Amino acid sequence: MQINRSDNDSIAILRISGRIDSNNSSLIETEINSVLDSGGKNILADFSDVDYISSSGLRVLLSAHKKIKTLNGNMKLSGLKPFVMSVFTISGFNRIFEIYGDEKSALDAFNEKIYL
Amino acid sequence: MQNTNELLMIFSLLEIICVIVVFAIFFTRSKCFKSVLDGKFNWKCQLFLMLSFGLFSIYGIVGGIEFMGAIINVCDLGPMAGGLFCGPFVGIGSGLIGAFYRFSLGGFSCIPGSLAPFFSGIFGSAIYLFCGKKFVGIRIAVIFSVLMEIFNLTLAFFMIKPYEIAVDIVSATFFPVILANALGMFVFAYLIANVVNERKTQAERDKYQSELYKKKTELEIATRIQNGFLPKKIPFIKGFDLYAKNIPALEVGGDFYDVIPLPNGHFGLVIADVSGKGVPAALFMALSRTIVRASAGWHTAVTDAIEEANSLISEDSESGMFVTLFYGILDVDKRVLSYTNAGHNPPLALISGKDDFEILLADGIALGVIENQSYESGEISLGQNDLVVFYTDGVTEAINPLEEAYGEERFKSIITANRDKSPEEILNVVLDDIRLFCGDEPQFDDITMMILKGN
Repeated sequence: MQINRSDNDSIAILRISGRIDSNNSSLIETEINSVLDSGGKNILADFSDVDYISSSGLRVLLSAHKKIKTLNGNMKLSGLKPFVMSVFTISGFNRIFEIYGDEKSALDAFNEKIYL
Repeated sequence: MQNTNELLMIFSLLEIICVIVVFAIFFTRSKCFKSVLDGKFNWKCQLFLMLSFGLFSIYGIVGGIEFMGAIINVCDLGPMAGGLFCGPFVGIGSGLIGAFYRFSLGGFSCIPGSLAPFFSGIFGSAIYLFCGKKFVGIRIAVIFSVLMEIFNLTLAFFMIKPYEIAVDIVSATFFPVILANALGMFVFAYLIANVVNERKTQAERDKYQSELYKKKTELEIATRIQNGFLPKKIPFIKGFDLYAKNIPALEVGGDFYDVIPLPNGHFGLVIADVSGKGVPAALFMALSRTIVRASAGWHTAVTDAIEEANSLISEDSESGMFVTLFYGILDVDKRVLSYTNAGHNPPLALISGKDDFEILLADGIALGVIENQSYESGEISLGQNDLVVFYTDGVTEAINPLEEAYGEERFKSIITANRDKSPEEILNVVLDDIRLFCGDEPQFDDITMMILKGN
């Protein structure tokens, strides 16, 4: 698994690729924490290249979601492949995460909220 | 003639070097030097080292070669090394021993000869303290010994009278003395560097092993917790056959199943998968299992039990841990399974006489994610030979060496092919099939199944 970070104004975009499982999910946690520690509170995680996510991966996302909520920030996900989407649907995580088709529509949604 | 003399002198000095090697080996391997390296100040050890280096300094004088009335010797080496590697007590102490001994011998180089070991001990100790009581490295040690000897010889040059003799002695002994002391110091420093390196690797190895041991202990604890919270025996259910098994992964995944006898004669059936691995997952499994058992006893409707359990678990979950859980209540008289699903893989039902599986869908979020959630419920009637297969994603997501997943299709077809067998037989056939599929690929998540069959 790899994480590539780029920033778009106040939004940290994390492009994740590969399989997210218990061996590497902590890397995502570290990356998200470094965004939050440096004062960022808007995160867009792009899953276009993620083939698999285990429950450990969901746990990391959930914990990030809870933290960001207390900071009045926002986290959005984009580009979930069918298998990954099915993991979100079965576990009910699609209820609590804002999920967009692709990175651009997620960014647009961020910007609407920020500039309105 | 002069050349032969100088050659003989160098050979004699080499003999001295051999003695230095032997002394240095014993010194670097001694318990006392290890205590110095550990940074402990032990009086007995300091005294022992001081006397050793003092005697070594005396040996440097006794074993020295007399040349034109002056003794070319390595009596400074003991105090230098003692101070540089063991600190002021050893350095100055042994320097004084060497100095007194040299003084007792008299001779016209008596005063500078006695001062040399004493100064050597002081300067060696000063560098030791300046470098933070640590081993200074081979290069600094050798450079120090060269500079120290230049200092001592300069001192001798100015103190020996008459001037002509001073010139003769110093010019003849200058290089052999510096060479002998530098070589001796190199031997010491080299052997110490070896010991320091060995200790470092040893420390790293120890750390690695203790981490490995800790990891192993943690895995054992996690496995024990998980085992402790799985039912020891599946209760007898009238009109049904039920069998369940959990095969934990090396790093425990916190899967569990449960069969709960309810007050009204019904049975609660649970299969669940906790997020994460290891001890945290095992503890969260223990918590969830206990809460679900309690809620199951309080509520007769599946959704009420799970909504309550969710709120209780959510209160305790700050780390983002959650559990996906399927809960069903089996009414043995009506032969109906009513169920709700908190984000778990929906179980598969294979009704006698049909070839397609019925998926026990009910919308709901995993337990512990967010409080006050509502859950959907469903119902299925179970006649004779009807099968319900509950499982965790460790089954369908088991991978082979090519990273292909076992998958739902393979799972369904092996169940269909063995539908006439007992739950225990079907479960074992499926497990064998997964093992065959995965080959050498290590099992990476818990595999848990529970099979219910009407009889």
